[in-house]
Amino acid sequence: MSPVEELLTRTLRDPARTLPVPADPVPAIRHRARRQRRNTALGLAAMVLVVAATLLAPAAAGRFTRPAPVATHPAPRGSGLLEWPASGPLAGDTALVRDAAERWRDSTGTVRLVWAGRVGTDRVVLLQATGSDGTPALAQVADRAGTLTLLTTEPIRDPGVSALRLVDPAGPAARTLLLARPGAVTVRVLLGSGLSAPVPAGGVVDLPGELAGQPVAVLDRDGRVVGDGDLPRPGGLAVVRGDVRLAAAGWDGNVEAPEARDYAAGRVLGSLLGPGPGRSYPVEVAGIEGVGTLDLRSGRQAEPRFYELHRAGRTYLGWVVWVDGTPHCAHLDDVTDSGVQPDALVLRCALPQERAGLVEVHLHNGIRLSGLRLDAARPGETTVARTFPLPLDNGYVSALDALPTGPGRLRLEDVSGQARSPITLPPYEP
Amino acid sequence: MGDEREFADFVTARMPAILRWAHLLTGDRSRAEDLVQHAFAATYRHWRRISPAGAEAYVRKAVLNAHLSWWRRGWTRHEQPAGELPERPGPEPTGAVDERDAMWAALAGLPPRQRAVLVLRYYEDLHEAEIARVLDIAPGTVKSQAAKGLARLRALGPDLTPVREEQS
Repeated sequence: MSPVEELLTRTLRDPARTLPVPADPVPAIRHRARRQRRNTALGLAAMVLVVAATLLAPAAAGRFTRPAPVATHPAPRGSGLLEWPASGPLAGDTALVRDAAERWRDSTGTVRLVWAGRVGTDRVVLLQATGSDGTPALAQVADRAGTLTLLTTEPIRDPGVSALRLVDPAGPAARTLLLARPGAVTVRVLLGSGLSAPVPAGGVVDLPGELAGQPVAVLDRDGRVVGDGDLPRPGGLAVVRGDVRLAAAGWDGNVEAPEARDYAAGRVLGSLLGPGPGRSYPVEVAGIEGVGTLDLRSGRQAEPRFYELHRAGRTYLGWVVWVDGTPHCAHLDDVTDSGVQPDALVLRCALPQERAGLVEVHLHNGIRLSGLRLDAARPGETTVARTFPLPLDNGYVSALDALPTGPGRLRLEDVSGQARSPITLPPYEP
Repeated sequence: MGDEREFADFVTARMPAILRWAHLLTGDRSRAEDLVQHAFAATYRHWRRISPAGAEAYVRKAVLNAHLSWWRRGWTRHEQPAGELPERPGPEPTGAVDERDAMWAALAGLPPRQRAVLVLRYYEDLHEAEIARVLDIAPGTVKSQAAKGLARLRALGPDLTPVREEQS
């Protein structure tokens, strides 16, 4: 054993290190044992509480904690939410918006402001967020005289929606409040009333009448359609895209800005294709500019108009003759497999009640019409033969006493005078 | 009632030795008393399940575990019951006592586990394997901890060389 080990042993065994034992230590030990038992029980209880809190906190957090600040920037693409920036004259009222978001307790995650403004004397907030069931949803909250009320919530079925119908906080009324997406300048009712109203600075268009089910188009400053759809019933929010969508035409010629009757043409022409599979089989329709309007003997006006239609990956070209807003002579040709656009579209329409027949030729860009012939096939018809020494480059339109129903033929040339393949028309079948 | 009597007899018989042992482990009287009371209380709670032959080992293990775990958690954060002022040995006339005081002071500078190894080895006379079992560490760790502890005592403790020369 080394000196340090020897000294260590002596030090440890030094009798002077002996401590006096407390007198009768057992009662103190028993008391401490009881305290240990109590502390152990308290510890276990605390542990149970901690575990319970850990398990329950996430569920409780959404219910009891104050929601995060409401986001005002557009929702990310693909989130299932509207990609609208926050708008409205009260969008900067953070207290109102936050209180409205608190009122919408079923939402989870980030609540985003869609619009905040006044409708009458009420303050209205439109919000969007992922609902408690994981579905993107909209909510409208109204503040009437300091009382916040969640008026409605609705799942977002189409994040590309172009307009929302506000629930009227004042209750049922003979009006339709429409919030157009930011950037929209005009809202146009496509059928029925045919109303067209500018979008005011506040964003909400107040349209007279109950317009549920009516198709509307939202136009930008240049008159282009930036969205369309059917107005929901009262109490509903989202304008739902209908079976007819306004679209851009691929036709290389004069294409008109979409308008209300184009939407109607989509329905008329779509009906020619027959029902598609499923309940909804939408068509996209684009109007192609015609030559003009014709005066009929009755005093009514006829306006032939060409259309391009898309459905289920196929492209059709056709026309509708509108007589005082009523469609006549709808026709479609499937041009999907032709590969090239035809040099001309030829419209023939018999209007027996008007004792008239219409002929219109719509030319492709760079094509001129040098001759037209329509053969008479029935008694009372007269063959029409026109030759144009100066070929027409704006097309041709004519109202005849009677439409020749026999075959026809068009002579065409390009801008250099080079003849193009003539177009042969089959006999006319109304 | 018989259990109560047996426990009281056990406390009376073994507390002096265990208290001294705890004092050696901690180097602090108040801490030793608290640790021992804590260990006896834990033993009391489980008295019916502890065999009489294993009772002292149970108490010592409880003292050791509490000491090491309390030290790891930071003893200073806990209340240190002190009914009276810590002992301060007065000056002794002999050099041997001064050496033991110096060694005691050096022991206080050791980490608790190192100190426990030395107490078990040089006070309890336990072998490395027994110390390893008591402290629940590897025998190699016992050996290294003992070597480090002794080396540190040589550095911190009294200068023993003159003493050896005088004794020789």
